[in-house]
This record gives sequence, structure tokens and C-alpha cells, in this order.
Amino acid sequence: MDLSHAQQGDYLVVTVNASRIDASAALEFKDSMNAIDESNHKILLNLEHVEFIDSRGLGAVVSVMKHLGKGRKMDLCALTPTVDKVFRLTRMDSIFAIYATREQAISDQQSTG
Amino acid sequence: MQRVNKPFRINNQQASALNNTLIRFHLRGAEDFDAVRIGLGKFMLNLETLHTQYNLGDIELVLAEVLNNIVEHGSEDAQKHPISMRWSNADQLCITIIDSGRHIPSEIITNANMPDLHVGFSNLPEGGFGWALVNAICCKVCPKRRGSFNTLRLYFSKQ
Repeated sequence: MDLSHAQQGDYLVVTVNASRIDASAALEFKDSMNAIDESNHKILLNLEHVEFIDSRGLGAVVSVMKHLGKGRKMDLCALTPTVDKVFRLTRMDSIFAIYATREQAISDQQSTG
Repeated sequence: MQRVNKPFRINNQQASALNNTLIRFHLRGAEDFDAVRIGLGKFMLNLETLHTQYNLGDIELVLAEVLNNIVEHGSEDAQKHPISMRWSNADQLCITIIDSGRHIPSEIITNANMPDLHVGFSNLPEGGFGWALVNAICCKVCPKRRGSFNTLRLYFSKQ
């Protein structure tokens, strides 16, 4: 899956350059995410281009977070309305820190240290 | 009080709006999620004219969950016959999905709840959301087994 990543503030911002994280893309998403090995940075997963996620895609996001381990956080930003709804309905919005925009996430990290 | 029964007539345009296009697609093997993506894409194109009445993102999510489930649990039986989908729109949108995969008891579908998230980090669920999402979005879910086929009717309210 096409992912781009760059360090910004405390985060390694990973942008998903695909419109779907569905069952047919879930495994590829997991493999591509796990292949990004930028040591100890916190990850901010930027979902601004993702218009659709199903429960298998959601499971893949959870799996990646678990794979990172408890010590390394993964936050989310820029959820489109359909993606946001899946996180709310499954209550996964209580597990992840979710920011409206990338800028908000970065400035929040800087102000809280 | 006397009720006057108006004769119920519909013109051709209304008839086609009531009972719409059938989409069929075949699974080419186990875990053929690519076929689901393509079949679902075709079906959603058919629904585009309804975008002012219904939340199409919700509908696409529900259909993806149902179709993925057929693919995942459907075994070889699911590959024998195509999966077929059709829709009709009146007071509500009704989408019917027919498949020849394994029978899932209706109470497993209609009683499904969201997985518990109060389980500690390493046990956070990575699945088990599918039917619960379907139930959360649809206003009615009617699964039936007829012979060797599953017929699932999904009803959506207007937004």
C-alpha cells in the first residue's frame, strides 16, 4: 500500500495514500505499516485520503498499534466522516487519540511535551 | 366512515424505481475480498441516485461487512453460485443479498454486540465488529435460510 512518512515535531507522520482500507487492502496495510521501522518515534496516522474503512481495515489499524507495543503510541488524524463513524460505532475512538487535523495533533504534542 | 380505496397503479418509471438492478458476482476462491470490492463498487454505482435520501457511506459499510462475512465463512459452497444483490426503494431502502455459503443462525446475526474494549492493551479486539455494525446502522435486519441459500434483507431509513 502507498504510505508516505515524514518526521514532524514529535511524530513520525504516516500518510495513507489510498482511498480504502478494506478487507482486500487490510493485509497490505499491515505489512506496509510494519515495514516502516523508524525506531522510537510516536506515529501519527494521517487518514485524510481514506474515504472508506470496514471492520477488517479497523482490525488492521488496531493490529498495527498492538504490534508497536504499549510504549510506542499511535495517534490518528484527519478522519473523513465515514471513517470517523466506524471508530465511533465500535467505540475505538476511546482507544485512540484522534485529532481533527495533522497540525492540531502536532501542536498538542508540543504543548503537552 | 367509509374508506375509498384508490386503485393502486404505478407507471413504468415508478416500477423501475421500486425493483432495481440485480448485481451478481462470483467468488473465484477462498478469501476473495477483491471480488467483494469490485462487486460492491458496481452495486454502489447503482445507488448513486439515492444519495440525497440515504447515507451511502453507511450502506457501503453494511454491505462490505455482510459480503466479507460470506467470503470469510462461506467455504466452497459460497463459490458454487454467484452472490446476488438487488434493491428496492419505497418508504425505506431494502437491499437483498442472496448467497449459497454456510448457514449462519439468524440469532448470531441479530443479537451481535460490539466487542468489549475493556480488556487490556494486548487483548484489544481486531475483529468481531461486523454484524454489530450492521445492526447499529440498519433499521431492520432479516436473515432467512431457504434451501441451500441464505437470503438477507437489510432495511435502511431515510436520513
